[in-house]
Amino acid sequence: MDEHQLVKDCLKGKPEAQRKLYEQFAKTMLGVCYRYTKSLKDAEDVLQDGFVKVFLGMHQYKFEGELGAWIHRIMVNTALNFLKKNRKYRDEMYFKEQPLHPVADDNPAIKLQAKELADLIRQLPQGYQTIFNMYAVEGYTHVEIGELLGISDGTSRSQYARARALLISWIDKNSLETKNENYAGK
Amino acid sequence: MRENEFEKRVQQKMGDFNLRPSADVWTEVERRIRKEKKRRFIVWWPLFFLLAAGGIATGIFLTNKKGKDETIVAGSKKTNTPTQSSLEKTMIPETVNNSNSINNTDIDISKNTTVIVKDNSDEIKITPDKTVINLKPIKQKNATGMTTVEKMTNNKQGNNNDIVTTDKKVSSQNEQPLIANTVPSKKNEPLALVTDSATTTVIAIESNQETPQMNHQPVPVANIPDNTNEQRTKPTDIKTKKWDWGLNFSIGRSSIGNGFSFAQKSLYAEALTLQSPPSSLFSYSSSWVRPSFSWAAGVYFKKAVSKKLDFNVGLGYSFLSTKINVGSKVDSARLVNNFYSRNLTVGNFYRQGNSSYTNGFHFISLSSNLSWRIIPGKRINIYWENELRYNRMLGSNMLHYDRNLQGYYKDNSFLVKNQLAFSTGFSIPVSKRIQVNPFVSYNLTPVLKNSDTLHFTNYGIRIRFLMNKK
Repeated sequence: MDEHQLVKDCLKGKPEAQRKLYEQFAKTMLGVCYRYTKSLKDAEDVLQDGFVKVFLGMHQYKFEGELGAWIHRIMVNTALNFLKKNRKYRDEMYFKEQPLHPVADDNPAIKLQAKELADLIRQLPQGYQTIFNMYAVEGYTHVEIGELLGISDGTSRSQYARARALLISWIDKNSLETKNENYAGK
Repeated sequence: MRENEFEKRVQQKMGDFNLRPSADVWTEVERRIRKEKKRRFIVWWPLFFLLAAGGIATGIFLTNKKGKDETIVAGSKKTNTPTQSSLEKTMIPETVNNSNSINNTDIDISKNTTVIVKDNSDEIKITPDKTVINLKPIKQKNATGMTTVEKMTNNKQGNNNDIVTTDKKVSSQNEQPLIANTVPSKKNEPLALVTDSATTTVIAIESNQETPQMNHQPVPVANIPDNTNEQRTKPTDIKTKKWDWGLNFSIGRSSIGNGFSFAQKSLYAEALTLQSPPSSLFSYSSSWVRPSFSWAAGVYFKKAVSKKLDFNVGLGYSFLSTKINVGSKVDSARLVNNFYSRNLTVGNFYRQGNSSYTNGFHFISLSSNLSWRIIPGKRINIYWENELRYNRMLGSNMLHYDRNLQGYYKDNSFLVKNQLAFSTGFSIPVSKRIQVNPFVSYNLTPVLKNSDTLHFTNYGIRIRFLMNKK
């Protein structure tokens, strides 16, 4: 069944089509939600909210652009709303000027698995995590991030630079540890 | 570009990243979808049922009313009161035709029964020996305008002092149905009174015997004075209620919001298209959407459904607006491509700035309204008004914010053109023709196709002028 037909069936309220659409996108979208939150449970809560919005707002999908991109957008918006509403995240969402972490290589190769990288991103401070996800993964501009998060685009830039440096240092460290473990193993 | 290589690698890694959600997620999603659909069903259907029920009730009422009026007009010949089947009928002979009260009317009269007929000012007693005696006037008032049959005597077989009320109205003074129960009663006691408040006609039937005895003999009655000719020409007080009509005007303030909010700064323009409400943490650089002026005018038609309930239908024009701040207008073609406006080429747009701009919305409205008289009084009557209104958007100059454009552009394609609104309020008559009606209104349909949460709200004062009130 192609996506067009799947959406039409979902609009008719057919449970099997809804289930199929969910199964088609749930795993990828949980990956998106996972990057924005600090726990799998919260990620699943966002996923749940997001899919409810997807099914109830299906009539708004005009078959312009990919369905996956439309759902992805809804998931990101839902995740941002979740961060705003949830005090645990809101209180952590500050954008302090921290010193830039020095890094040896500005563009290191990433030898980590996707899950490992996602876990490292989730260990960033909440503000860094959100900005890093929005800029590096989702592709928002700093102006857009500034507008969405209520900060200036300059703040977004500087926060991103710090988040990026910190993450690279962790990736380097992780690679080093892996290397040492390999040596030790030999 | 080397600087972006890291980002590309991250995107590539994260593009492949997925996790399997637990089974509970789908179960919960499914449950919430069903629940939400059920909730929407519950919210919408009662409104439709209410509207339909109102229409049906009005239709039934109008049909019944028409039927009754026809019966009443014909009632000069024959009426169908609940007591009729039990009546013994005696035709009043032609000799009483000069009496407007009993002309061409079936009347039940027994051999030993005396009938007292009052016609506005005079009272006539028709005794069994066929003599007519004038009596002094009896005044009976009935607030409901109903014909009342009242047993006045002790009754051996039946209950005493029963009051039977029928809903028959007498069509005119010169055409009055005279129907009374002849039930056994003690001698020389009045048996029944038939009164009609509109004409203050009272018929008293007296029985001279204890034994119930119905006699079908015609009673010749002569020389009943006809002294009410001038009153006959007066229009009847009991008539079919017609539709009244009038004009209404309203002014107020309208807004677009997530709920019923009329805050000065209710929403960012950007939030309309992003579906993301502002908070202290996340805010937007676009202008606030502020409440602004609204007005409406139209014609309405009113029908009294019952003593306490009026039904109105109306047709009118309404204007709602909000305000935003914009900058200078740029006459330059730009491509807008955001989530809602796909590859739209706009001929001009507005930059950000501090000049006030009014987003106007023009509607033509069709409304149905039920108004209950919740506080009936001699001095003050207060009605509770509930209105369901269908609005068809005729046009709008609404501007939307686009982040890439860094400005405001016009695109009416995602405005919802058909709007259903509910309004409620109180109506206070300030004179016989004028009513003042403060109201609040909420559009049940969202403003934009992409938003389920943003709705028009409106409050103000409506003034109604009844044009054909008699």
